[in-house]
Amino acid sequence: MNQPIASKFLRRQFPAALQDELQALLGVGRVSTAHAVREHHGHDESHFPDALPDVVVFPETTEEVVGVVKACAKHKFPVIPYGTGTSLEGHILAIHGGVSLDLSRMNHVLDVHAEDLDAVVQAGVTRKALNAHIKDTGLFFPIDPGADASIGGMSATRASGTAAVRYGTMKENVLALTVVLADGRIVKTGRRTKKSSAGYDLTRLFVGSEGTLGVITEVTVKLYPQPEAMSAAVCCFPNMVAAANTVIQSIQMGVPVARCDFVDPLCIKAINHHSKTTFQEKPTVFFEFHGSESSVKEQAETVQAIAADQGAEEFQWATKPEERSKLWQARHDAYLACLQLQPGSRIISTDVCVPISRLAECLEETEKDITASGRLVPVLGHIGDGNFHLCIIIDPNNPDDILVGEQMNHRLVERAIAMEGTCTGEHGIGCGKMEFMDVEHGDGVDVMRMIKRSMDPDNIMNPGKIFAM
Amino acid sequence: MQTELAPAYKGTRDGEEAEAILRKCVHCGFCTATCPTYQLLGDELDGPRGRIYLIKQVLEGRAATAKTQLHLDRCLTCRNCETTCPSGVQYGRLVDIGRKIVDAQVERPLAGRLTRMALAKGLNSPLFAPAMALGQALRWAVPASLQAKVPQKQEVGVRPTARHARKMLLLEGCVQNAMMPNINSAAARVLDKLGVSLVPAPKAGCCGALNYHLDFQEAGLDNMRRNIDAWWPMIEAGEVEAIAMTASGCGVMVKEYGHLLAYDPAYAVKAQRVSEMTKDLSELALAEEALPELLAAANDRKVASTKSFGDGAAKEAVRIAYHPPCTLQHGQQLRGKAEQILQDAGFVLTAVADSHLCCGSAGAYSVLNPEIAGQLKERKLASLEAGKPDVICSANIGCLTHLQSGTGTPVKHWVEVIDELLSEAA
Repeated sequence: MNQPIASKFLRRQFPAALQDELQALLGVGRVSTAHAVREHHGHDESHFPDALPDVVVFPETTEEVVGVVKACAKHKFPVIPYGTGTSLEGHILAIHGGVSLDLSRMNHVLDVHAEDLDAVVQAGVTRKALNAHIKDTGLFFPIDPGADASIGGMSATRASGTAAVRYGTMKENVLALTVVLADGRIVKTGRRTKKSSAGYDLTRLFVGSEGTLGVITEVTVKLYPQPEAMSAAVCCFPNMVAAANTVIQSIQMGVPVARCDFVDPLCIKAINHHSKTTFQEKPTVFFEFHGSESSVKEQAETVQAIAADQGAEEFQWATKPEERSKLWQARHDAYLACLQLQPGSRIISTDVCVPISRLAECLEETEKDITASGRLVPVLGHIGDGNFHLCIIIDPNNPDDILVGEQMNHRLVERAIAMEGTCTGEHGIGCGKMEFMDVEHGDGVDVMRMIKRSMDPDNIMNPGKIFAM
Repeated sequence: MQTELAPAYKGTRDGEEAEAILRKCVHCGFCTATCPTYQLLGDELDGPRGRIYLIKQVLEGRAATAKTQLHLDRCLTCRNCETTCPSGVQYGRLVDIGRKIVDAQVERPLAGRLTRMALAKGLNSPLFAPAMALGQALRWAVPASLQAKVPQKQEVGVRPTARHARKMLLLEGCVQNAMMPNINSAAARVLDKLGVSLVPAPKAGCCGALNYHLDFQEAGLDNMRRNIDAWWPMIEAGEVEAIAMTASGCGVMVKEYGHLLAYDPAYAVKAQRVSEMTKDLSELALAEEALPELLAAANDRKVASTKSFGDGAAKEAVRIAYHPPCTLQHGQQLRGKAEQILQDAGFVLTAVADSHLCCGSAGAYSVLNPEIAGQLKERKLASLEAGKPDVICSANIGCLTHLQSGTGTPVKHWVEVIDELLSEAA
């Protein structure tokens, strides 16, 4: 079995000499053992108990990362790369103890090749910072997981978000990487070209590796021209299945929807309460269309016609940029809004993804499961990708509550896998979904272990994540 | 955020209030991105989220250190983070509680204690006004380090007599009347034209913010009680309809009297009433139906460019860069009101980048943390002056004097500008 293991007995002894070596390398100011700093680096947005690193370091260059990794390799002590701490499956928890390698100071955009539609950034640049940096070029970086995550962290989790239906995930949008390996070597994977047939695709190996194979320090990402016209709309449906069918048919007809996100009435209630909006508390889809004036109009008309067939209400439009931002900000803050439904709670966030044709069926069965449980479970999702989330609200101090929540997630994952889906569309495995790896990949997990062993024989790179060794 | 209160704080008012605030925090870090000191220093512990962790740690029983105190001291209390926080964490209250607890554990070095004492007591003292007058008369002799804090002497003009039936109380404040006495008299003239008389309450004094934020929280509460006593007879008799605030730093404090004195049986009800009646001048003016007409009339006469704006006098309309004080936009959550009044009066408001950020004044902060305050001032003035304004306006005495100390562009309270316009037009 591939069960997550979190126990204090796993913690490796922090070698006293290592702290001195790190201080000699980075100076006292960029090596912190302050409890408040360690605590901040010892939890993410998941519901797992805190697991504090022994020390937090703040390198500013790839060479400094090499120094830190080499020092840790010498002592066989874990290294946990840290971006913004917005992971949802405990990716950054120091369950074996270790050095939290905070990359937030590597926040420079190194190069923007506007004519090639790409940019080279340091791993700590956040997606919003990148977009602010390139706003005058007429280009934008579309991957939008909601949180203002770092590009390095997004690459390592193979993140996506609301715009993946049109622009793909990090898998499609990372061209090249600079990675520091567990032995301190620097490798540059990939080129800035649109395609390459030169050997194994190492870029894709590191994208989604969750820090277990190396530390991503630089990323080359694709950019896209800002569309001439954009409009967003909100549409209410009589039920969840009608909403899903509208989206499925739109995708099947090839309408290039830029975003389409589903939000259920409970989630809308939380959003209204939290973001002071006045959306109707009904099953709702947030749409966004990109293109020329005429193509946006055409796309919208097609989707509106499909929606009307499903008994939907009229679209409510937001065409001004500030209206659109407000609408999507409200959607992005849904996670935070749901937390406030029950202050002090945490959320088990499920993340299954199924082939689009099975989406309505999967949602329908899940809805029955939620109703039967009688719990507070807002549903939202990027249903254009076949991906949706339940926010299972739990009291972190109540083990029974956590168990019931995890059982609900279990049933959902089984359902999705039976429909040829995956346990996680965009959040990653971390230590939260390890138990589903065997059933999803079978012997594939062993192949992953072979790769891990050959690249990191001492298991110092973010140990205890994705699979047990 | 889960917090296990240490026995020493369990069941205490401060402990329980802090715990309730901490529960709401989901450590998303939106606050950190918007915090002025984090932007300058780049240390997690110099942003709200880091400070929240520090406070939580002390509440959970870890000993506070001089370092904990330093990080809390570096907070401007601008409460920008509260505006940004998607979860409604009342950081300002939390940091007040945190400071009180940390200061009880960690004694400051003597010099620090003396400076704080001197500020809290000196600025509050009846001797402050004569000292300021002396400083202004002998400005050339004042050491350079202090010179920036001593503004040029102002012409005050005449305060109208209380001739109207409608009356409001005016908090005269402590330092404002010594440093920029024209603000209160300008406010009185403008409201007089709107049919409202501002009446003083001679026994009222400092709002309490100076003491409260400088480790003398009990003395601050005493200031509040004294003010309530001074105002209460007129409030009880129904003679006044509001308590007007011309400095938003005082306004935010008086609006919190109700909360801060909620556990004082003798004052709880009165304090609540006082807080409810307290309004910023911009709120009061904008609520007056006669205002648009008054401004339009003045505007019609095309006098929106007036004497004291230097070279700008020749232009059609005077350009104003407006700096919303943190105590107004974040503390009181009032935005756009003074700006609207200025625009209605025909002034052109220049675009100002990052208007949500603090100028660095932050009460006594600019004296206690001159380096950070100075850097924030430079940044703020650079964005204010980017639009080439004739005048910089704001709404709080601290911001006004702090900004003026770094620029040759006149820095005025917005009501002074409106007053000049209306007086010219009369």
